[in-house]
Amino acid sequence: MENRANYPFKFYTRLTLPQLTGAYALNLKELLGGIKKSDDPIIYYHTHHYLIQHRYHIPSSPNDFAYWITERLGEDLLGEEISSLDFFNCKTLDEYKDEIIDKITAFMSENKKTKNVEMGGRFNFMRAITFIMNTGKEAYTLKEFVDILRHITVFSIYYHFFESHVRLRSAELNDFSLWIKDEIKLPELADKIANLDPYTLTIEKFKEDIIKLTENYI
Amino acid sequence: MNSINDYTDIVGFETIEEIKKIGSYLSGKIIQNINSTPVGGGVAEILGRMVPLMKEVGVDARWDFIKGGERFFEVTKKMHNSLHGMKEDITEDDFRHFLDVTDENLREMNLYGDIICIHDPQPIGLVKIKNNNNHKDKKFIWRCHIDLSSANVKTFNFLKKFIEKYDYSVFSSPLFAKKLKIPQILISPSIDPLSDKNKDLPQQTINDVLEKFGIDPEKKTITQVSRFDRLKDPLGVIDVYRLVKKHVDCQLVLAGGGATDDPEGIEVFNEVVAKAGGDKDIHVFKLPPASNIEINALQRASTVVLQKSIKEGFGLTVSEALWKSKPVVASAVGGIPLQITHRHSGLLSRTTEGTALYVKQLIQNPEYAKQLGENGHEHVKRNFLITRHLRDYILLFLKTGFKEDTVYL
Repeated sequence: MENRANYPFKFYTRLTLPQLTGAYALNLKELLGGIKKSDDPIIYYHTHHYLIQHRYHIPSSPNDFAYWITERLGEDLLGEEISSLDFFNCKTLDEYKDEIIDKITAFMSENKKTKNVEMGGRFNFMRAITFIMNTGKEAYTLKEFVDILRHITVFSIYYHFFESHVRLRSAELNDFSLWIKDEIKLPELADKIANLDPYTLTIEKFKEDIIKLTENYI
Repeated sequence: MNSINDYTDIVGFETIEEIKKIGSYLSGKIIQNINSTPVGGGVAEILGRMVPLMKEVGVDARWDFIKGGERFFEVTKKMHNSLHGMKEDITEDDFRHFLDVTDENLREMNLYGDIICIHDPQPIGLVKIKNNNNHKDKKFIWRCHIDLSSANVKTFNFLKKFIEKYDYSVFSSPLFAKKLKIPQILISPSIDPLSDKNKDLPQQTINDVLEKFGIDPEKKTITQVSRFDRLKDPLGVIDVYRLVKKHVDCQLVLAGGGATDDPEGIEVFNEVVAKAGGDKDIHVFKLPPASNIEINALQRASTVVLQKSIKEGFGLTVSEALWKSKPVVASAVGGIPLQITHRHSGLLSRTTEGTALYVKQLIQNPEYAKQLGENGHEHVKRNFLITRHLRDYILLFLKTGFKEDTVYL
């Protein structure tokens, strides 16, 4: 008999509008200065928006800082170091930001000269205005859950995996895993979903993987 | 006219459902769009599609235009060029005429919207009415479709007095943003995949268009579709063609329409015809506004599509070509780098010689060209279709009712 939750999983979605801050960098020193001044929404935007923007391929540098350092400044080593920072090893966005700052500072302290780019190649610091909306869809069973998953946008997947768990750091696990563990009583499935690495998949593939994992338990 | 539901096959039912849901939150609000021309140019084209779709998802969107005589549009064309960094002699008398026409429009127009979205510099001065008591509760948005990154300081400062009276500004690329006291939102423009200009065409229609224009269907074809405007560098395109032609037999198609607010077009067209010099493999067409099927067919029949702009707003013709899975070589200006990741979804060039090199590479390596075109199609599908654009506008209109950066609907 399939487990039925006391509390349904309510599907929300998250849409964003990018906002330009007007701040920009033309070289590594200015980038470092800009990162130091950036608040959480700016750091979050530059390390996560690619997941939604590049939904069909995995970009070589999975955050804007690494991409700019590699593609515009031509500093492959530093770009790779920043690309490979594991966000899940950090408890807060501040900690993640500090790791980025440390990597750039260490690189610069070796007196390596890096180039200035033209205005057209500048790094633009941005943030996002976030809109959160209840889709009105609810699931009481795992079957209902996966049926809805198949028909919701990747923005909803993004919301439930990243919003409370990653952006706000207000929950230990992503929403899917929490509900599956607490309400459906399937901690193993909850863990499997929690262990997926969304930073090395496209969000569409990530959605498919969650569906496939869940189907195995129905 | 297509219904919002017609896009389901392209973007998915869930995306359409989401747009309808956010649209419902604008119930009771009137969104008044204002620009300078009902026909010609990218802005009129987008509004012509967007406004009916907004209405269909429950947003009461309207579209009005300002009036301006020949002199006014000559002045605004000079302002446009100057904002793109070109040298223009804009006199104090020109600025005064601009303000006079703005005042005339303010007297004649009814600014009835709850949210008033002004497009580009021509109607920018209408925001003056915001100081009027009857309009204090209205929200004003300035939607800038052009590249301000090299804007002439004098012209920009003239406009800045108006821009900073708005509640929000909207730009098409991060590079166009300026230091402003008001929030700057990034909204990329879009193409309509179901419009006559972008929908799938039967091969017979493509063949008929080629026959009508006397284009050889067997010969490799380089195409640039753009207004006859110096900023699109049509003369440079002929230079590229001649460099390619030395090594690869090909033909060139230069096709474009004209906007009613672009008096310079005829002059540039004549220069292009003169430079073509009777070469039978150079086809230059000045197309009337209703030539969308022809443009669609010309793009689909191309081996390589060019967009050799010197300056560009966003460069929607790039997305149009990518949507048709065509390999594109385009200048790395304006919004074009947002549409093309170099060597992944197209090729970005900076010089005439570099452009010619890339065109030769694509013509001679069809598999590589095919891969770039397919990647470009996928990128446009997810980021530059009208459904994403519609969603972004609705979100912006919703934002005008909230102060917080996280809005719970």
